[in-house]
Amino acid sequence: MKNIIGIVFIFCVVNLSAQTAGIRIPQLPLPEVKMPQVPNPYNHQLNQQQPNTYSHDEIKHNIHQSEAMINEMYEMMQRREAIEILTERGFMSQSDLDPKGTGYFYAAFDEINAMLKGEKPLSLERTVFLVENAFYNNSLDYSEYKKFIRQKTDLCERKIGEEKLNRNNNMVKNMMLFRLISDTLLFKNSATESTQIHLPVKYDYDDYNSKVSYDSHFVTKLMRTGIGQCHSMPLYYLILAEAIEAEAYWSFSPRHSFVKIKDEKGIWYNMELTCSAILSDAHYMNSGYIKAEAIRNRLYLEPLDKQQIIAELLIDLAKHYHARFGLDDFYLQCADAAAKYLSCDINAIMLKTIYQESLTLYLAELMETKTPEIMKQKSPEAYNHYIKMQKLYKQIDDLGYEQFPDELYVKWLNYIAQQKEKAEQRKTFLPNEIK
Amino acid sequence: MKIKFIYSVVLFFSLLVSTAYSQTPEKYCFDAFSEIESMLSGKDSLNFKKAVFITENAYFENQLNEEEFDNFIRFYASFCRTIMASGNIVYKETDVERASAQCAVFVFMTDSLPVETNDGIVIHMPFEYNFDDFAGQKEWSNMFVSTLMETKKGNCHSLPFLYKMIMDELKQDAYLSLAPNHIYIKVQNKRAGWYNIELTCGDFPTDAWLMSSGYIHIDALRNGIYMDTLSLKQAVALCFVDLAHGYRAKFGLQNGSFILQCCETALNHFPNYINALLLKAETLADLYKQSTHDLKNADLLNQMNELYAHIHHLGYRKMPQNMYLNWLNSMGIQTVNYRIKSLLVNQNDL
Repeated sequence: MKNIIGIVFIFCVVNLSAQTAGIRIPQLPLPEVKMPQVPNPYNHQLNQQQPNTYSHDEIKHNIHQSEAMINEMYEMMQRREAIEILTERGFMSQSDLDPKGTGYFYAAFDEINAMLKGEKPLSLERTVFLVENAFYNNSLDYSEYKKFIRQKTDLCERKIGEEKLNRNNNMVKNMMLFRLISDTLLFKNSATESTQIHLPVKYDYDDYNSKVSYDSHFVTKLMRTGIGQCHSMPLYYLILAEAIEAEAYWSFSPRHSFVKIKDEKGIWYNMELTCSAILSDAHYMNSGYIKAEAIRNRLYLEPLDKQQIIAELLIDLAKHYHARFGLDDFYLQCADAAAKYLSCDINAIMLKTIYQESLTLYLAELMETKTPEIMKQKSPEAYNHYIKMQKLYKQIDDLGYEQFPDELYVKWLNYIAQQKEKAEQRKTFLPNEIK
Repeated sequence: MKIKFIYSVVLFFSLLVSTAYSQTPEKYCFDAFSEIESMLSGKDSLNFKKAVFITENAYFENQLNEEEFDNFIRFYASFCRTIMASGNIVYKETDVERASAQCAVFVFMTDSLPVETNDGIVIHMPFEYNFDDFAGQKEWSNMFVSTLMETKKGNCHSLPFLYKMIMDELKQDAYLSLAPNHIYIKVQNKRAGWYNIELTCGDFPTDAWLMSSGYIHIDALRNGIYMDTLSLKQAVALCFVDLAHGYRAKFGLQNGSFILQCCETALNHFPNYINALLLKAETLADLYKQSTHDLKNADLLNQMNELYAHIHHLGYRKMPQNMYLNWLNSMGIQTVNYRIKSLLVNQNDL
C-alpha cells in the first residue's frame, strides 16, 4: 500500500512538472559536505598518553573510521539544521548570493506593483521593458526600445494616411496593426520614388518554447531579430496597440496566448498572429482541448485588460527570477501581488504550486523519506508542506485545469516541423526591407 | 315526455362528466406541482426518478403505475450489473466500479447485446432515437421515460434521463447537462477526466464540438447556462418546466398563470435555468398577443423585453430551425470515426 502511495506521489509530481512546461524545476544541490577543520582528538590522545599497542595500519584504519563517523555526524547536523530552516521559513532569500542581480528584479517589482496599485499610470510598454530588462541585468537601453516602438507606430499611421482611413477608428487601428505584424506592407517613398517593404514578424520554428535559449519568448528578442512566438507576438501587438491608443486584450488557451479585439457592436474577435488569422472561440476550444469547466472558471479565452495583463507580467517576472536565481520569497511575492488583480489566478496558483512542490520534494530528499507517510512520522511540521502542496493541486483541479493530451501536442510538434520546412524553402532576399 | 326525460338525464350526466373532465385533468398537474415543490422546499427528500414519474403521471392523469416504473429501472440496473460482472470491460485505474458502470449503462442503452435465456440466446436490442417526433411536437408524451420504456424509442430528453436513473440505481454519479434544445450526460473517471455521453447516437462528443455545432455562445459557457453539470436540485427543477410543457400541450395557454408559476418556481431553485427563462418569455409574449387592454399591454411588453434582454445577456442565441435539423442530421449520419478525425485535423491550424 505504501509503495502505491509513493508511486502516486511521484506520479503527481512528474505530472505537474510536465504541466508547467517551460518552467525549470529547480535542481537544488544538497548541502555540501565540509571536512571538519578541528584537529582529530583521537589521534592526539593516541600519540601522547598511551603506548602504541596497535600496528600502523590498524591506527590508520581507526582514524579513517572515526573521521568518517564525525563527517557523518557533521553532515547530519547540517542536514537537520537545513531541514529545520526549510520547514519553518521555506527557501532562503537569494539576495545575498547576488545582491545586484536580484536588486534589479526587486526594483522592477516595486515599479510594476505601484502601477497596479494605481500610484503610477499603467504602462504596458514600460512593464514589458522592466520585466525583460531585469533578466538582462538592466543592460537594455530604454530609449532605443521606445524609439523602435515609435518607428512601428509611425508606419501604422503612415499607412492609415496613405489608404485614407479613419485615424480615430478603433477597428482601423487594430486591423492596421494586425497587417503590420502579420502581413507584408509596401511603402512608397515620394522623394526617391522607390518602394520599401515591411515584412511581418516571422514565427520562431527553432525555439518557440524557449528550450534553446530562455529569452526566446521575450518581446525585446522579437524586436532584435524579427522573429517571435505565441507569447512575444501578442505582447508586441499589445504594446503597439497601447502606443496608438487602440483597444486590445490579451487571452490564453492551453500553452498558447493571443490577442482579442472588440468591434463597435461588442462582438469579439480572436487574432492569431502566429499564422495571420482571425479564429473562432470554438477553434481554440477544439485545438486546445478546452473543456466547458475551464471556460466557466475563466481559465481560457477570457479577455484580459491592461491591468490584468500587467498583473500577468508579474508572473513572468517571477518565472525569469526563478530561471536566474531560483526560488525564494520574492517568487511568492510576485504570485500574491498578481493574484489580487486577476479574475482567474491560475497562473499565480501554478507559481505557488511549483514553490511548494520543490520545497516538499527537497525536504523529502533531505529527510530521506520515500513516502509522505514516513515524512508524517518523522516530522509533522515538514509534512504540512506536503498537505499544502496537495491543497494547491486540488485548487488547480477544481478550476478545471487539465493537462493538454500528449498525442495532440505531438501532432502540433509535427505540424511545426512541416511549417518550418516550408518557411525555409520560402527564404528570399529583399533589398528594400525596412528594418 | 319520456323521451325528453331520458334526454335530460343524458344531458345531465354528460354535463357532469364534462365538468368533471374540465376540472380534474388540470388538477393532476396542480397536484404534481405541489409534490415536486415540496421536494425542492425540503419537505420531502429530493428524488429525481420520483419527480420525473410525477411529471409524466400528471400528463397521463394518474394512469401510470409507479411500481412498474420502478421495476423497469431495477431490471435495467440489474442487466447493467451483469454487464459489469461479465469481465468484458477492461479498465486499469483504481475507480473501476465507477468507470465500468458508466460503460455498462452506455452499452446497455446503445448496443445490441446477446443474452442467454432458457430458450437460448436472445438479442437485447438498444433503445432507438425517435426520428418521427424528436421534440414531442406531435405528442408530448414522446418526451417521456415511461414512453421510452414502453416503445424503446426516445430522444435527447428521455434517454439521458433514463441513463441518470439507472446510474442512480447503481449508486454511481451521472450528471445531466444542457445544450440548446438538448440534454446530454456528463460523467467523470480517472482515465478520461470529465467527458460527455451522447445517447441519441451513442457517441462521446467533445465540448468544442458541442459548442460549435450546438450554436453555443462563449458567454453561455461562462455563465454556466449550458454544458454545466446539473445538481440533483437543478435536475428536479427541470421537471417544473416539463410539467408546464405538458400542461400547455394538453390545455393550451389558458390564462398563463400555471405555466408562469412553474417557470418562476423552477427559477427560484435554478436561477439561470435557460429553458424556464425561455418558456416564461414565450408565455409572456403569447399573453401579450392575446391581451387587449392597453395598460396591461405596456407592462407585459416591458417585462417580456427585459427578460429577452437578460436571456441574450446570459449568452443564449436562438439556433435557426434548419441549423438544428442539420445538427441532428450530422449526429445521425456521420460516423463516429469521421467526427473524431475532423476534430484532429483542425489541430493543424493552431
